[in-house]
Amino acid sequence: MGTQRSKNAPPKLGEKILESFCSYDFLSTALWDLGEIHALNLKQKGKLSADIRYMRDVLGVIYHLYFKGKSQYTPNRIAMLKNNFIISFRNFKKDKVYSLINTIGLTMGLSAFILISLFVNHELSYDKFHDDYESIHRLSHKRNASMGSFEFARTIPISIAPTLSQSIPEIESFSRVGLKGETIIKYGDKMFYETGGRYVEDSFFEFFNFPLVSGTTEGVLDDPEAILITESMAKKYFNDRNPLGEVLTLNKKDLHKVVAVLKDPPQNTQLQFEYLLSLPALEKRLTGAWLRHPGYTYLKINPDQIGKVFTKIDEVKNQSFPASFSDSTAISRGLEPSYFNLQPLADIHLNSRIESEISVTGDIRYIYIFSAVGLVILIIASVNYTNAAMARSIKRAKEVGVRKAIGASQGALVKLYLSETFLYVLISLGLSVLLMAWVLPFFNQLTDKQLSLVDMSPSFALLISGIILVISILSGIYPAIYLSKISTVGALKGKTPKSGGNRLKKVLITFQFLIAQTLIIVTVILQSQLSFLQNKDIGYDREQLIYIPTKGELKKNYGAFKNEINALPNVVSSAYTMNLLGDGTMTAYPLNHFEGLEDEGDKNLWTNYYGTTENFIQTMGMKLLEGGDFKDGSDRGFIINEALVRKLGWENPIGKVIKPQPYGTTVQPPYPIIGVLKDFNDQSLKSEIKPMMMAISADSLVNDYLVARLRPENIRSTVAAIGEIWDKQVGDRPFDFTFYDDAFNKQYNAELRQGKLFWIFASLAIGISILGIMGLSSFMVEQRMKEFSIRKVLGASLKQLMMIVNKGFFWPIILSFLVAAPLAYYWARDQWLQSFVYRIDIQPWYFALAILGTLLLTLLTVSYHSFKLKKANPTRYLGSD
Amino acid sequence: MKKMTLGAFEEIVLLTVGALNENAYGVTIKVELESNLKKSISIGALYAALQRLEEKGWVNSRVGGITEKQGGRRKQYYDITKQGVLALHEVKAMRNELFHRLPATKIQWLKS
Repeated sequence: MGTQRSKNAPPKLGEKILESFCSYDFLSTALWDLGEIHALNLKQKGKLSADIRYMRDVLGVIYHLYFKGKSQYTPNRIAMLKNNFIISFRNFKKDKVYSLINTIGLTMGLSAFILISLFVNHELSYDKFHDDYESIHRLSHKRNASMGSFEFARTIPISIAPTLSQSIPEIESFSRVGLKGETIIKYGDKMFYETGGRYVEDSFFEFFNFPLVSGTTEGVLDDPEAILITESMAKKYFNDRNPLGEVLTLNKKDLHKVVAVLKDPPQNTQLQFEYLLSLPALEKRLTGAWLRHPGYTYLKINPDQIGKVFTKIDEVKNQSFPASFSDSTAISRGLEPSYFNLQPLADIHLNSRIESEISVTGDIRYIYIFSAVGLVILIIASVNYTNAAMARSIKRAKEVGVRKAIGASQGALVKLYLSETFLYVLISLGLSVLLMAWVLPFFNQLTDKQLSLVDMSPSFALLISGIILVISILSGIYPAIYLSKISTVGALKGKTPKSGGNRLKKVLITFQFLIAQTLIIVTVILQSQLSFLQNKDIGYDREQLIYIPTKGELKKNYGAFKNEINALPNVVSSAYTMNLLGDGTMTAYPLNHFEGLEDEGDKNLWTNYYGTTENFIQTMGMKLLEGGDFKDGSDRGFIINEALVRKLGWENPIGKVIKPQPYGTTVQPPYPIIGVLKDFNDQSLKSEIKPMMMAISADSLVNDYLVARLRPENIRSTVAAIGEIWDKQVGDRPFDFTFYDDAFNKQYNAELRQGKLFWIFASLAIGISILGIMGLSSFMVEQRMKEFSIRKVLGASLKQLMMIVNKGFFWPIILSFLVAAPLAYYWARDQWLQSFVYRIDIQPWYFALAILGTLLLTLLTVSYHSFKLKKANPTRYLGSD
Repeated sequence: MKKMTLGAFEEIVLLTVGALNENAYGVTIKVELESNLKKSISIGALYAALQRLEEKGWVNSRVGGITEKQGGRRKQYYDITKQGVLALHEVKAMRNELFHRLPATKIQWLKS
């Protein structure tokens, strides 16, 4: 058209769309009319409005043309495409079983793929919504001690950040976050335990995007009495009342006025919180320059400057920090120097595996695994499609012949069969979106996430559609080319080209078996390890065992509280303790405190220390191997565990003497060891059992927690009865209790969840593979019907025929097993089981199960198909020659 | 051959084409319709209606207004045919006949 497009011309895109959908005659008419309307609108309503109306009209014209009007106004290629779809639809209806297998396989594959993509995308999105997330770095501290080295995300004193930022100009600003421990918050008659308290400073809102709902964040974080709460917390305490200006009572004494309500933090942030308090106020309360109060430190640093800052921090550490931080102190103690690390904020969720993270982290390894499984499922589904389409090609050969005879080019045929593939993908995609609406709630429950299709970002949706498009082209292209290559004459006679197809088919099927078997082995190993963890004897009986935090609440009532609980008919026994399993205080004992050990100067032995009361061992269901239990609360002595005995190398520990840690200046007399406990896991089974010593006190001295063993009957009413006793004896604090087995299982929630997810997707993949084998075996039988008919006529039995068909699958299974077994073995051993201290040995039967299971399943599916042979009438297949 | 029916929208389009006489093409028909019906008309729906009318032989189309400036675009003018007028007349007659059969008491309402 050559003429210069004026600025006021209608949108080019609209014209292009019209051009590709309308025949020439009609196009010119539509262009004229729409152009004139556009010019009119341009004058009356402005450019944008005119352009929008133009696009709307373009779509309207096309819509009416295709669904209400006449196809003669559409160009040929579109008409052909429409015809292709009609033909595909007819074929779809003609061979229902085949179409169903294909559709189900693709739908399952696509659904699994989309689900996994949603999951992975969510995991990858952590903390990327903050404006400046790329320059926010979290400071962590790696410290070395004689018991090992640990990197901590938290234990930095909060005063470190100002010191660093004064000396290092590259640090643009800092923001610190302190944790507030479990707190009772009271408003009116509402009283709850809250764990989501954080101390923050003004820069918190510069660093992180947590939108404000009402109130203000300006300067309020200097006010020691201010509290900022989330929407859901506001709802919990104030219902529909305006929370601003209301006063909450924290821990029965501190009054805080609500100054702002914030939106709940989204799920994809590490910085979860329920309420915020002033960090500067906290800092003032705690005196001394180098406070021991730990916090999290976030620094804004240009990513290019990281290396520079890193070395500068090291200098500052040696010059301006207290001596305990410096390299020389560490070296004088024979330890590696400690150092500070910087981690990009967005990396923390998946890539950080250090101690005391601010919230539960994910694991990048699982992201890799799930991405791989998702892609594999999609590939299996598309391989299925390719195989099934190849199988159908025999039936379609005549159709190809006729099309070619009346002048269809190869390109047109390829287009026809590709559009058919596309139709399948489209239908399956539609089905999987429907399926998703149904499955997502379950999936969310399983993953503890709130995923939804609606929240998908456009770029993510585009990526997913792109992958699906590529996969559908890949799975359709080979059958399309294969079919279009058939010679016209041969096709009309019903012949198909011989070679090529067969080799590809073998490769594809071996590949499928490889994936299926790898997944079976890995799943079995995963499940065995997880059930091993859950059923392992951990040295105490965690069933029907509860604990109640009582620290500082009982005052003088500890005796009455315990007696009343013991008097309940369904309570077996109860005891007070200072520590719960897992939080025993680690104490360093100089070596010369243990009888018979040489003092080696500075070296200490670290052990866990438990302060308990009468009946503790019995209540917990722990086993004494040697010696006896404490007689009563005034008994002086230690009970130690096997791990400590091993560590000390004592042959006969009973009666040997340990000097208690000097407390202040009081020198305490040494105490004998009176018993040895069987090792119990006081921490996650991912870590080893640590040395432990246990002493006994009177209830009046130790009453931080009450542990109680219940009878299995009426647990609910027993707990309710304990609650009533609590209300009577304590009253002004909510009753709180935890079952030990819940607490135990919680440690493995992540693993159990991943295990379940993996199991589901692996079964899906295996299911889709079986569908594929069904399709393929029908292909094989179909293709060799003539051969089988001759065999049958010559007297072959059904059994012999089935053997022939099954043989085609035997070698691919064996071959793929030879690859799958080592692949799964090394992955499970080196990548996954590594992270557990207590792990299963990989058993041969896992592998046997995989290969035998695959063989059996294949045999069943294939035999079902070859059963057709029995009914087949040979004359039908031999007649044409 | 099955009897050709004249839908309500088709009827009003056909009338408009007839009323615009020599100057009936996409835009003028649309504008005229919109001012009479007092609502917005989709040009796509209009094309579909015109195509159906043309198929039934109630309108003829001719091409006009091809200019170099318009870059191969053209106006497609529509004229009502004799059959078209007959069809309109038939519908109108039927309506009139039915209308006249309305009870006199109800016709009264128009006058008040």
